[in-house]
Amino acid sequence: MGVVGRADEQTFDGLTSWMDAWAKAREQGWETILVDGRKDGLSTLMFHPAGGSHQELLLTPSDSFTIPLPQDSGLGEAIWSLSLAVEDLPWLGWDHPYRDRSVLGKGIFTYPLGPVRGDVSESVFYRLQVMGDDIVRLTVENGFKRRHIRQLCRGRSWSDALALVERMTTTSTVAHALAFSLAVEDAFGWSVAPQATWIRTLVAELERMASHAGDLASLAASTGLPVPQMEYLAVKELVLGVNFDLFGHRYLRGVIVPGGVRAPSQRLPQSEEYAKAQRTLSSGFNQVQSVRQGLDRTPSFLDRLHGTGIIPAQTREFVRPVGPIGRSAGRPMDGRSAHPYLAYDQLEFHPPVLSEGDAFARYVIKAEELAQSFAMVLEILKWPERLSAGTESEAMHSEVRVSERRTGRAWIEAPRGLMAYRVELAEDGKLNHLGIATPSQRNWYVVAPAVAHQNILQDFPIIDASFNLSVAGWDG
Amino acid sequence: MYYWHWVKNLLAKPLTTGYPTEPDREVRRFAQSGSVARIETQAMGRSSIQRSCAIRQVDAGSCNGCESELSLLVSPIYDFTRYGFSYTPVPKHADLLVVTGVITEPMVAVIKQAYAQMGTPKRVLALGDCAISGGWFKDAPGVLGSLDGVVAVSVSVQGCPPAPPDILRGLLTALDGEVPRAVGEGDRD
Repeated sequence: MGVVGRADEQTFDGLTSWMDAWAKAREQGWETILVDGRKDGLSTLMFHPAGGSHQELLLTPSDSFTIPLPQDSGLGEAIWSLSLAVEDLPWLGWDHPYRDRSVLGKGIFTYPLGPVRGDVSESVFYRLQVMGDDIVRLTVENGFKRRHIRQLCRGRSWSDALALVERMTTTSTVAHALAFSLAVEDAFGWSVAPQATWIRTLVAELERMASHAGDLASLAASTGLPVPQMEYLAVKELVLGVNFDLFGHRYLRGVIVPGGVRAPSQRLPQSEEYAKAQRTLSSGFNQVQSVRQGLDRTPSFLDRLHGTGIIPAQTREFVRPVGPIGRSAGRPMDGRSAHPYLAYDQLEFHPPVLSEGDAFARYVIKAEELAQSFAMVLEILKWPERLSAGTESEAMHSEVRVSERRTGRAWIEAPRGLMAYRVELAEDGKLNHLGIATPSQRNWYVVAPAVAHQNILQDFPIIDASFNLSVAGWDG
Repeated sequence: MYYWHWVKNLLAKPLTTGYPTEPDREVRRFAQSGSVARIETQAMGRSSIQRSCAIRQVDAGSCNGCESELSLLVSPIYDFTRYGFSYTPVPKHADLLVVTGVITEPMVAVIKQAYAQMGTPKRVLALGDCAISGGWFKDAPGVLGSLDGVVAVSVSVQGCPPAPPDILRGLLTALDGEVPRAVGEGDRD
């Protein structure tokens, strides 16, 4: 049920053997889910798509200092996680794990862009190095807006921590709340009522719809097409309006809590409200289909996307991007089908996969997932009795038994890709430690190589919009 | 095919709301999420900005919720261009600085620089609970918590995140110095 439960744990005290084990597991098809620097060491949680099993490789403190960086050995999934781990685990002995390189030479011009850039955008600094029109190198500098959420959560009760992680990235509020709640439930051994599971599935898909519609709107805007931009924004607003009508918050904040669901400012919706939402969303579905048909017949749009911002094969192997970005580059990894959680095993959907890895593939994957999410939500809303829980207005706890473990792990498919949480709780329910892997902190390391790969300066806004990653989720 | 769209559009209602200058109950339902909290008239200056206002947004540590809502202001539903608003990438062209998010230390200099580059008259809008008080993150390391000490704030809009109708009211307040009131709604606002 979305949670990891028991994972085989192997302990290492030498960094080289730990890294060898990691690299070997990776070759055998294991997926890295979470790299987490915690008190007893640095751990890598992995998942095998074929067997469905988990393993955790733990590096305990040692004083060997001839240490290569994992990313120098081709392990690029956790560059940001490792630089966070260094702050907590000084014995690792790495100075800043991400080394910046720049190009020097005659005719190279550097465009600095940011942190204030674009129309409405998050703070990140790009340094575009061009030779004529060709982009030869891009460096992306983050860290302007760090809020230290992982640190802030330590020592707080889980309800306070929930409020903080929900504000990690608001366009993925549900995903953060869900992964956190599943991890806390895993730690305490709670189980959740079936209605709550269905409501969680509903809100998770509603959020994916709003997020993808927003991404597609900015992609349309980047190619200079205001009509599809406006149509996608109208769809996004329609979904946010449904969110508000059903649960009282446009971004569904406070709906998912450990133990169940609730509607913070009102009662949980009843069948007639779900029926109304279904009518609204059906019209939205038609709108989405017609925008896509229009875009698929617009050569000025398609020509700009085909072959633009291709993720190089080496980068794909190095970073192993997740989510729609990964699926557009031939990595068929979708948490919803890889290890079905919530009610996804009872819903029909087929995660699309393409191998091109260009902006067009990212557009197709997002448009296709948007349509599938609409279909899934309409399917869920067909059976309002599975969602409604009598007259209850608060969280729907079912049996609560406290387990001994007090360590919980969970990973899910957020709108932007794989998201993992690991919580360590004290006896009084306060958080001792919180490890978070967001999809953006991993996928951002794909952006620079994809931009500096046979593209010209005019492609940059399109490539940027085709990724549309969250800086808030990177900085944390 | 093309002419069919004309006919369809003639028959369909426009998507754009009249809110906040006309009553619209549909859109008003979101506006409960917060209200235009306080208006610091002393920082507004004497000379008024008329209805052609370029907005520069600076993210000083937001969760991208305020950005998501701001980008919906260009959508056909809220269409802020009907009041003369537009976004500009360049602070030098801006009349209104919109700051979102908790104020992190690395962004202080950036905000000050953007503000200094703007021509006068200029206004500053603190958008969302984070920019006003730091919200949930005021105790975080490296977070200042409030925009107030960094630049002179003209208007603040509460909410987490503030809904687009609230942001529209905040933008109009920054121009006019008073909260817009819907025509025919009396003093009820």
